[in-house]
Amino acid sequence: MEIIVVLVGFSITIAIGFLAAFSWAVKSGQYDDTYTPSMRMLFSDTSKTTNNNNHNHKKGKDQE
Amino acid sequence: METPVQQTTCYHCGTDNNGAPVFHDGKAFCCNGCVSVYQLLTESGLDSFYTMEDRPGERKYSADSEKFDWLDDPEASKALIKYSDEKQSLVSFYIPDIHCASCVWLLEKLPSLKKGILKSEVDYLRKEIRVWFNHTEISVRSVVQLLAWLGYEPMIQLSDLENEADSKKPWRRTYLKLGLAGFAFGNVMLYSFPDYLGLDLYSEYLRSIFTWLSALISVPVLVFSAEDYWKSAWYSIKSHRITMDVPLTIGIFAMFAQSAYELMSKSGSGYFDSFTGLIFFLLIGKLFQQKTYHAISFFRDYRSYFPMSVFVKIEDGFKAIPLAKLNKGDVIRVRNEELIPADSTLISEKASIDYHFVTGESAPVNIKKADEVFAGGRLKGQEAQFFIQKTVDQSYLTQLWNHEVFKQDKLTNHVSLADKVSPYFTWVILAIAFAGFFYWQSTDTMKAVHVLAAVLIVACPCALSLSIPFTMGSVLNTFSKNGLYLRSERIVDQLSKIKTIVFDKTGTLTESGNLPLKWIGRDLSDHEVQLIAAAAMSSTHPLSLAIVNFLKSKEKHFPDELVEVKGMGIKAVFGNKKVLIGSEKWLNSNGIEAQDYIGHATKTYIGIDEHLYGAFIFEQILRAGSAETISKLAQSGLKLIGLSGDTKPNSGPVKTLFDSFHESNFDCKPEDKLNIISRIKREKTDELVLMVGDGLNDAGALQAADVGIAISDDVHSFSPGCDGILQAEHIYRLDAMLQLSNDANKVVYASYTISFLYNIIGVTLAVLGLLSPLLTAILMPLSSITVLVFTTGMVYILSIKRKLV
Repeated sequence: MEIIVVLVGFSITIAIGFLAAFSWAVKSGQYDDTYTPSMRMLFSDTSKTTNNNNHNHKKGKDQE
Repeated sequence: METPVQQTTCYHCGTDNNGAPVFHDGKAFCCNGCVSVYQLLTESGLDSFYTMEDRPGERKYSADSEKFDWLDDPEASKALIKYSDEKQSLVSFYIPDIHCASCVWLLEKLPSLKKGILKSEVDYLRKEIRVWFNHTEISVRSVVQLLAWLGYEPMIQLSDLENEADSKKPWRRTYLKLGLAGFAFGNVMLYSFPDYLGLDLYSEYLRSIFTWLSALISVPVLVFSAEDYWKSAWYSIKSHRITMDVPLTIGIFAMFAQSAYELMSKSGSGYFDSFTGLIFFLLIGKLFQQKTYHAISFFRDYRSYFPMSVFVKIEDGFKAIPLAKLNKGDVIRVRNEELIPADSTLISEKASIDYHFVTGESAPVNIKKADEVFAGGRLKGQEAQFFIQKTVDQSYLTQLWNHEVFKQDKLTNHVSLADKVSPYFTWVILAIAFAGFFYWQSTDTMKAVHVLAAVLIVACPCALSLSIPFTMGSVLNTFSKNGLYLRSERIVDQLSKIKTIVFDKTGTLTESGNLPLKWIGRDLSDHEVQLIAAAAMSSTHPLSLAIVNFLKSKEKHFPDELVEVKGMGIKAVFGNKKVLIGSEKWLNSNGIEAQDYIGHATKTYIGIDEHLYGAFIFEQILRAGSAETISKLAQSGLKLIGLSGDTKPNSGPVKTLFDSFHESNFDCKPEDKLNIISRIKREKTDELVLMVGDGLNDAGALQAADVGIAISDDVHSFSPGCDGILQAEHIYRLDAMLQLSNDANKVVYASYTISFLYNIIGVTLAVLGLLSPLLTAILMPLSSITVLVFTTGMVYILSIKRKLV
């Protein structure tokens, strides 16, 4: 039965990992606005890839 | 202009191009503004914007860029910047025009439209945009101008300039608390699992490891997740009040103390599972109830109505300055549709002022040189210059805000049901706990301590504390689906006690904004229509403008002779035809006999040559459903009172409606409305008053009433300080919503009964010394879940019954 101690050790490590991930998600603002991303993901960037390669020069800067 | 394509709407914004389209790229546009936006979008490769929705673009160009001159004032632009470092600055704006997915798409593409903008991010529900830009390359002003030019003019209000803390941060804390409590609840339950099953398979060694782990996990829950509860309990004890948080905190600490004892004495595994579960449920309830309406502001004051900047005369022309810098003695320039920010006198020859916000009277007032003008008036027609007599905060309208009713928060005096119950509850529980303690003490001291702790633990009012959050949360949710947004869940309780309802007329019971016109008289030929329109066009009077809009004449005629007499009418001569527009008196004095055969409030007669042709009637129409709502409310035994800033009508739907009220008052000024509410409250101190109104002129009355609900056509943009905002088209549901708030109180009582039953069972077991941690672990979550399901379910069923879902 002592193996349970090891398993509990694993399980709590994983759980703490998820808790940390959650806290990071909240602190990075992912829960501030839970609606707009659902609209954003449906935008297709078709024109950007086909005829707008020369206008992507600031794309790198988009990432904060 | 002859073209093969017959397009009547603009490719960009979808507005009717009035038969005179501007062509570009084979597409029809309504104006060059739309063409340039189209060009910019296609050049930047953003033309897929036009494939997204039927009518994506917004048309609202502010051609006059000098409007934003005040943003060059370093102090003003600094106040708008939320964050700044060496490389970038962050500004955030409220943009009322954000209305669909393509708005979000376009606004988030700002970096590819203008060099210097690094990133833009839209919060759709809040209608907010956050823009990061390089302040060495571009200024705040150029960002605002770009937005305005795209058709998304930010609404910047004086209150924005007073830097407030980021309102999103407290939410993050609540989420973190909930996350931690959920994590702890899950894990502790897992460790308690052998206990639940009564398994004796595992060794004492394992049990102590599990218990220690549970304790370790629970400590942060007590310190962090539960902090709101014990802090609030501490504050209320310090101020000699007992709120529901006091027995809750006693229960939490009893639970923790008992568990710690069991841990140390190795006598059991404690109540850590019940404790973490309790906090988890409480926080869910809190989150459920705290559903706020981000983009709606309930605390607007006069500053939200005033412009951000004014044009002040300097040696060589005019300069835009922030409103706060306006001084007595300045000369300002005000244009059509702009608000006059401070009490002043007119310098120009004449002007027409609409005092709708201040007095509720919809017809504008004509003034002449040297006449006094009050802050809050809106200039109609030609631009005019004014000499400032008083500073903004000493003006008449602003003084209204200094009235004492604005200085107190109504809700601080409000005693909710939970507050009433909790002192009794706390004392009864303490009495039972100590009675049990002394009863057992004579026989078994150890057991006496256990009983004391057990009573306090099981009596912990978790189900009780959940009743209100979940009931009111569901009610608020139903209300918001029906266009009513309340400031706080406490307002629901207040609403259920309403005995008197006071209605304002203009804008509340009647439609506001452009009054619809109706033509009564003989049929007009096309040529006559053109002549009337041409004559009306030469006047800036709002009634004339309304006639021009109504007739939609495209032909341009110019009168050979034109006479306009203020307050009377216009005489225009076209060749051998004479057109008269104006009052009864005006036509009579020009030799046409006009008699009052209509009886409506506002009308303009038309005479051509020597004959009366008819009249345009400006009808005040009641909002759809308002008459039915009034009669339903009257039937349910409420006292109804009508207020109006206008004069008493002789006939028409408004009169019929006002006749059905128990009391009606006409010609009310803002203070009169406030005084009427105060009088009613004095007469019947124990009965609550609901005020339903709109606009700035009702602000005092809305504040003075126990509950003030503002009616608004657009909940996001225009409403005074109030407790709730009701969308104008939903006014017909007011009676059903009042009934639902009544029902909500009954649901709370019922769920109180349920949780008391659980408590009685639990306390009985505890006093008898039969309560085991296992029983607690079952009983406590069970009572919480019962209350949760009962309250939300009941509110849903009642909403269906009231036809609100």
